[in-house]
Amino acid sequence: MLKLARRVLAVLKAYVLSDLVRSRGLFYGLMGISLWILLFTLPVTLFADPGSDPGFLSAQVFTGIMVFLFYSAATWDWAAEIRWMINDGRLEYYIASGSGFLPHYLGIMPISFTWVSLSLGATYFLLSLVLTPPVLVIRDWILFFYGLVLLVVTLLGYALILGGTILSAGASGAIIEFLGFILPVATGGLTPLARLPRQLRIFALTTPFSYPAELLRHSLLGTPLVLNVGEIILYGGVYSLVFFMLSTLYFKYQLRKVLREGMRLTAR
Amino acid sequence: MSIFDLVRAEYTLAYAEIMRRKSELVLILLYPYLFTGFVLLLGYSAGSLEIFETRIGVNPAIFMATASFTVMSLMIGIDDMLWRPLWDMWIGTLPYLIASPVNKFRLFVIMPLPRATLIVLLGFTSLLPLYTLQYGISGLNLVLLVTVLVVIGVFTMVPLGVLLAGLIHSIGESWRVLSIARPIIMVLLGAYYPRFYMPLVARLLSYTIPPSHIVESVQRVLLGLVDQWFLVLIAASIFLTVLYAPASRASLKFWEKKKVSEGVKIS
Repeated sequence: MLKLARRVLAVLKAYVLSDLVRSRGLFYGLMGISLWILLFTLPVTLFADPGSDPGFLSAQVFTGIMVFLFYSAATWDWAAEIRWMINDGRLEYYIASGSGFLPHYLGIMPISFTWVSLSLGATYFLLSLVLTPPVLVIRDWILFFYGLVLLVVTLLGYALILGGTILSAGASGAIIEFLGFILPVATGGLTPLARLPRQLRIFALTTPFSYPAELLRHSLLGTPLVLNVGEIILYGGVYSLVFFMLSTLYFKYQLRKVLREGMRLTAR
Repeated sequence: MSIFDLVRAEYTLAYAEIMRRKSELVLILLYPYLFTGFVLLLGYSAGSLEIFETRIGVNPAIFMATASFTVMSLMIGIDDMLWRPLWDMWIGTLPYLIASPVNKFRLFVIMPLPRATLIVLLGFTSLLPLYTLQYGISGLNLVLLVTVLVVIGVFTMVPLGVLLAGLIHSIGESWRVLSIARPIIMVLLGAYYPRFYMPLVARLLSYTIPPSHIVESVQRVLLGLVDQWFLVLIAASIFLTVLYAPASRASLKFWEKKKVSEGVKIS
């Protein structure tokens, strides 16, 4: 246990230094993400009803971006990390060291969550500038935390599938970028399911991603749900857990395959 | 090296890279749809498509697809210029580039040419389906007009792109600065958020970016406002392009001299 804690701390220190401290990475990173958020949130104001409450509108955009940022963390920090490790030649050392991936991921996760939190702070600030400060009232704390936990578990499952595929097939950066964009769009991450066209809503409900997003939106904004709360809690919980377990099995299978057949090179 | 040789070399390099990374090509063609879907769905959550249409006067899907195509094209056009010094440094070819007798300004001006041909393809894949659905067969003419305007926009962006490349690569951590400069340009172009809605300072900054006038002319085309202002905007864009040219040449010379005097890092 102590060994695990020491490994986690070493990874955490290394990544804090390389991602946040070195070359003012935190400053430049936040500036960059703020500008991207600005690029896509400014036009959203053109869709708003002039008579609608700007605080509520701002909160709706904030919630959409919050879910998107979690998806981005799963894609770029968790799944694509495997790709960086292959490209840097670190993965073989990890496998040979016998420490497994757990300490590495436990070490980088606090940084991911710090990034998401800081980016959310930047989003709040930007929305306050271009619209009005988002009115964020958590109506149901338990539901909110349950939704957040479900979202993280589901995204971990997704990262395991994507990471496992990168490990065995060497997926290119373009595929990762495509998934990072299409997934929140297609699975109801950005928009309440009740507002989506029927076909897209049905598709979103067949994926485990829509349930946590719906719970988060409902607990933060009171958005109407397409199923009742009990059903979403039950189906979402079971679906996320099953998805996570299957993803873990898939990742382990791909890892065993790589140990047998050797590492693939990733495309640029 | 003649201009013809340079153009041929750039075409070979650009298309060899595109053919090598076909998934990247597919992604480039999909990007306008992804961006459009992203903004439309975010817009759905905040309001309605009808309100957008009443406010702007254009179908939001058409407007956003055109905006995404425009922004993507302009960035594809100048990305080679902005990133090439870094790529050359990363793969170790920058010393050869600096040592070669080729005219660097000429090389940088030629860089967007191969990508501009790709933009024509992008125009057809990203605009044609939506335009023909919305406007029928006349949508084809509109696609041609918008694509031609955007290609002009790419070339009006060249001097500013070279100016930025020269300045940014003369300082340290240029990739971090580029990661900020690119989205600033994207916002100020006014493609997604028309500049007449921007605050005064942002609007004034937008006026200094040559292709932002082309973006406004494209938006006027979508609104059916092809009048004398349309020509004034194109003239303003060309005027700014000419105005930036001496500064961009000087900026590139400054970068080259700096590399010669300080030496080239290889990472």
